[in-house]
Amino acid sequence: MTVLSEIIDATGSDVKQQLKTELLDLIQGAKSESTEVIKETGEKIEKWVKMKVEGDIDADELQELLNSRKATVQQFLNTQEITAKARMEKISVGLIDLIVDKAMGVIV
Amino acid sequence: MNSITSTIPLIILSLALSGCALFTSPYDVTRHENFTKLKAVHMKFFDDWTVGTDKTWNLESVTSYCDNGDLQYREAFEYAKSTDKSDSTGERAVKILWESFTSNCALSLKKEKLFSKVFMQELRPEIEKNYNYAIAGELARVTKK
Repeated sequence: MTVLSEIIDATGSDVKQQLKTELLDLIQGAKSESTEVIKETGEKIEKWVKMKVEGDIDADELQELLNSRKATVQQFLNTQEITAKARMEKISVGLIDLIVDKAMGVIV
Repeated sequence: MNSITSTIPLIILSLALSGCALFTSPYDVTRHENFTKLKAVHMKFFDDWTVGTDKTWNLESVTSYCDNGDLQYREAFEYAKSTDKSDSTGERAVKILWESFTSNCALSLKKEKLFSKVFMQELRPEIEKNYNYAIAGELARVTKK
C-alpha cells in the first residue's frame, strides 16, 4: 500500500471510492514509469498530498506546487520538441553538406 | 552503382526535410540571456519574500516587484515571438515561465505574508528545474554559422 493510500484511508470518508482508486492507479503508474520526469511527478504529488494532510502546507500551497509541477512537465515537453527538431536538422543538413562538399564528385 | 541508388533517396529526403516546418528556430544568444535573467528575477523574488530574511511582507514592495518582473517577462516573450519564425517553442518556453511567476506573485499577494521555509523548499527546486529545462532547450538548438 502506498503512503498516499494510507493517508486517504485514514482521512477520507468523503473521498469517493472510484476517485480514490483512479488517483492511486495514476500515482502508482507514474511512480513505476521508467521516464524520470513522470516517475518524479508521481513521487512529488504523493509527498505534497502527505504534507497537506499533515499540515505542513495549506491548500493554496498544494495547489501552487501542483501547478508548478504541471508547468515543469510542459517545459520538459517543449524542450524535448526543440531537441528532436534540432537533431533532425543537424542530421539532414549534415548529410547534405557531406554530399555537396565531399561525395558529389564520386556520385556524379 | 549500388551506392548511387542508395544515396539518391537520402538526398531527396534530406532536401525535403530541410525545406519543411519540421525544424525549429536556431539558437539565439539574447533569448538564452533572457532565460537566465528571468531566472534571477524569479529566484530573487523567493529570496526576498520567504521566512528567514530580515524583511517583513509589504504590499507595496511585493506589488512593485511583481509589476516590474511582469514587464521583463513581457519583453522576453515579445522578443522570443519576434525571433521564433519556425515554430512557437521559444515563445512557449517564456510563456510557461511567465505564468509561473504570475501565479507565485498572486499567491504572495493573496496570503499577505512571507512564504514558509517548508513550502519554499518544495517550490524553489521545481521552478529552478523549469528554467533549467528552458535553458537546455535553447542550448539544444542549431547554431547558425
